[in-house]
Amino acid sequence: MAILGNTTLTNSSGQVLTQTTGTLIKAETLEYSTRQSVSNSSDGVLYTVTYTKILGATQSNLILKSDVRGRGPNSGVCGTYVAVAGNRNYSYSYLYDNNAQEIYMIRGIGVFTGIAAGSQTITVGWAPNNGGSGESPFTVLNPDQGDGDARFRKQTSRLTIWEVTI
Amino acid sequence: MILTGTTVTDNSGKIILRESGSVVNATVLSRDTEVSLSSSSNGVHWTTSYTKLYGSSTNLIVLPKISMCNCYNGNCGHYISVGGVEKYGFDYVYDSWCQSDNRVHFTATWTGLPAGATSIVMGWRPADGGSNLPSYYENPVQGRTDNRRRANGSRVVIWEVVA
Repeated sequence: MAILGNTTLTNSSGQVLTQTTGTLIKAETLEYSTRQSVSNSSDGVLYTVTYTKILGATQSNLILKSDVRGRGPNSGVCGTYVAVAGNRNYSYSYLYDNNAQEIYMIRGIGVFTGIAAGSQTITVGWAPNNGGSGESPFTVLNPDQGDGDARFRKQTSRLTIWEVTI
Repeated sequence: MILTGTTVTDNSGKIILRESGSVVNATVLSRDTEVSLSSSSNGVHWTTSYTKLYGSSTNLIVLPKISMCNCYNGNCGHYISVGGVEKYGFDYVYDSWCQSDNRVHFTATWTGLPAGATSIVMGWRPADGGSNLPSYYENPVQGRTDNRRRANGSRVVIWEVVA
């Protein structure tokens, strides 16, 4: 039997809840399926979604895993990121291959700390380190069935978030 | 439904029952220091550790991601070892355009490990014993080999769940 540290919380009814450190309190997958053409930019946004964080900045962290899908090669490197409440994490990368028929996936795992409770904007985008304006990770986000290649099935982007007590 | 479970005690002495499949701890291990990699028949990316809270009554679900750039060999036999138990299939997608960001991804479960410090090792060991190199750089810094590049780090997410 192990002894764990505690985080004491109060719910909306005033009841005291005890959570141990590292406890998963919410898991959610945010989907975005709209097909969009992607234009070149030095600081572009692919899409935004929102997550409602249960606990405050000192009570929980967010673990975020991305699987963002596109097609059509453009830039080999362009500084793709996921941001929560404006805090960008650039360790969400894609593998470039100069093949127009290939699916491109922006994937990564990150931790976001110090995020306040409530509705928070999550942004998926890109901003190359050198500020170059002719960049983008791919040319189509969430390609449709048959989009550019008759073999394609419809693609949907997903962000999975786990909110964990500190 | 009857679930199997395990009991834990919080630091006020209260006994808590955790059901099978419940997450008892979530941890993220991070590493952002750039490393220049060399060809090897037995290379190591990163050695780290996790303190397992319970013995064989919990399993570890592990999701590692190693960031790299400037790939070299197409196949290197990547592995991840948790508590000395190795699993292969922790692989990357090779691209001949070598400045691209690259990464190794994996998800697997380890069972039956004892409580306490648990070593985690991520590396590569080609099946044919040849000397190979997955990529030149691990956790590349901003601007490494391509001035558009942002710094990339590596992470391991560990879910300890009741068996």
